[in-house]
Amino acid sequence: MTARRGQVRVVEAVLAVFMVVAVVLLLMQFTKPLRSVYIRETSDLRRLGYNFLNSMAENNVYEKVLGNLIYEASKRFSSIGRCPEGWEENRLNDLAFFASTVLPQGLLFRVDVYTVQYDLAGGRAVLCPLGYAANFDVGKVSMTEAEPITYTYVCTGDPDRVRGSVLLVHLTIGYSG
Amino acid sequence: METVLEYLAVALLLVVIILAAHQMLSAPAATLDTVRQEQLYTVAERVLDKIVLTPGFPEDWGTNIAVTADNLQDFGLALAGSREPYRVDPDKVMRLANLSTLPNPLLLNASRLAQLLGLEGYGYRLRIVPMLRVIITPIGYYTYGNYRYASTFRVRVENIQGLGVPNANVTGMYVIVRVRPGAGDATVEAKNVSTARALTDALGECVLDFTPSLQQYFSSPRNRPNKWYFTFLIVHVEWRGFASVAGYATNAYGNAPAEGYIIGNYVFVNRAVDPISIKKGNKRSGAVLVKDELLQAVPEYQELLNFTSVVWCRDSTGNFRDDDPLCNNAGKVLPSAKQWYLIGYIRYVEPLASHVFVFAQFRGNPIAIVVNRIPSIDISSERGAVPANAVRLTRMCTVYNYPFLVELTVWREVEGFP
Repeated sequence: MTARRGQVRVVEAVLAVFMVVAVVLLLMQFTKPLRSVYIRETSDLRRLGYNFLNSMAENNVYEKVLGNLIYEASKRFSSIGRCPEGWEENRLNDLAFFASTVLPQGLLFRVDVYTVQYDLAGGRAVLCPLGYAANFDVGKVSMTEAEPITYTYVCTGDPDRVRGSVLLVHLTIGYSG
Repeated sequence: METVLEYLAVALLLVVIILAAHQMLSAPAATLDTVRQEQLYTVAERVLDKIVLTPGFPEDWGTNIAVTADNLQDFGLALAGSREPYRVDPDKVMRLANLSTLPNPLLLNASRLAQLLGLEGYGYRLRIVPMLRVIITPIGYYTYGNYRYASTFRVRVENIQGLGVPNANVTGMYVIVRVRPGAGDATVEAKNVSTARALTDALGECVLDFTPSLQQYFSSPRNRPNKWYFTFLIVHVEWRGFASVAGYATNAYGNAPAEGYIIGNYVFVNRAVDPISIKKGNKRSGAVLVKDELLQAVPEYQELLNFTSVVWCRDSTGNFRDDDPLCNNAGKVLPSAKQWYLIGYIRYVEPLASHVFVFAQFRGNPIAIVVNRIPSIDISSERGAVPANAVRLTRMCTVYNYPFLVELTVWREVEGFP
């Protein structure tokens, strides 16, 4: 009788060990460390993005590349009191070419540019889209590791007619696949 | 029988425990690659920030010739005292440059740099290149008397990936300085600046032709063949607000050594070059500083050139001059440079001059030596290494007012190639 009890204890111990090991292994599957790739790449992308937008601002690139559009949007807003329609779908090819030339290869980017117009009668600020620049088909390709950056800029360089215009730039920069 | 079963069960238990322990220890190895790569990113970000955002110590190590690679305490390329981030000191960049034609006398080499940045155990490659690279190729020449000058140039503007940049505004400034040779001192008689403009084509190229300007210049009776003519070309490129500049010695015929370094106020050129003493009016004048910063703002191109004097540290017998305190200073700091270079002290270096043209003689012919103060840098701890696992980071910086890209690639030595 005593010997049989001993055997049962051994079997119990084996089962207990199996259960403990199984639970530990199961938990280990669920508690994998966060994908550090995700953390590291986006942190650098954020710095690169600000660095890129700031570098364009320092060299008055916004005025040179978007000067005519900024002027046209401001003129229309002044005359009709609202933003030109459908401009959010404008492809800013000049800006896209510029960004492709400057940014490192292998990165995807999308830059949405707005002018900030002031409706003095209504006492409000209105964002008028000028369009977007991208180096990929935004309808088909999606970014997996990306960082959004918002940047505000007051035009200070030539052409003179856009001096003082306020721009809001949304940059999304990341990797595909 | 029961005892045997118990022993078997205990043995099985031991095996299971050992296997479980092994499994638990080896499980994190699956994520180790990611973690290791994150470390590389962390290292690269930290090092790149240190390079472009800190000035190093002493802060003036770029211009102070008393600071050598051995006694530099902390490395950083940021312009000391600047309030803007990512503004790089060109004099510090100059310490990393090593021309193929002339070794840098105060070079900070790759192994010392790795030591200063704490990159021992890692391989790295550091590139500092203009955002718009300008390549000047002479394609036509003009001959006058015994002299032959490059007069037509193909200018290519490309980005860091080597892609041609179309629709860039290219302005070329061809400078001729006429000098009357003299027994003791030669005298600057006149300077002439011709300009040409062009837009780059779809491939990022254009042609600047100065042949008609040279023909017109040398047809004047004042410009006789018995004078000396120092000629050089400055090319300024502007594209969508981004600018770049390049210099070219147009009389660099044959194997004339037409390059050099400026560290602080000292200029280092090839020892085969002979110094000449030139006066402009009552002032000594041995070099021209180009204030190309103002190229777009100042329509009068003559105003962009500043003459300054050079004290050459070589006597008439060809030996190093220890009698001049300025020369003696350089001689003490750089004992080997005394023999391997012709050293000069430039009285005034314009802070914003990206190029300095030094007047000298090579085998009896007058030549203008181009000193580019914003050279492109490409240094690597291992030549030709193609690491399997590397991290590359890029930052956009400003040198003078020209946009530059600083690119750092880091990998582990154990994963790279020797």
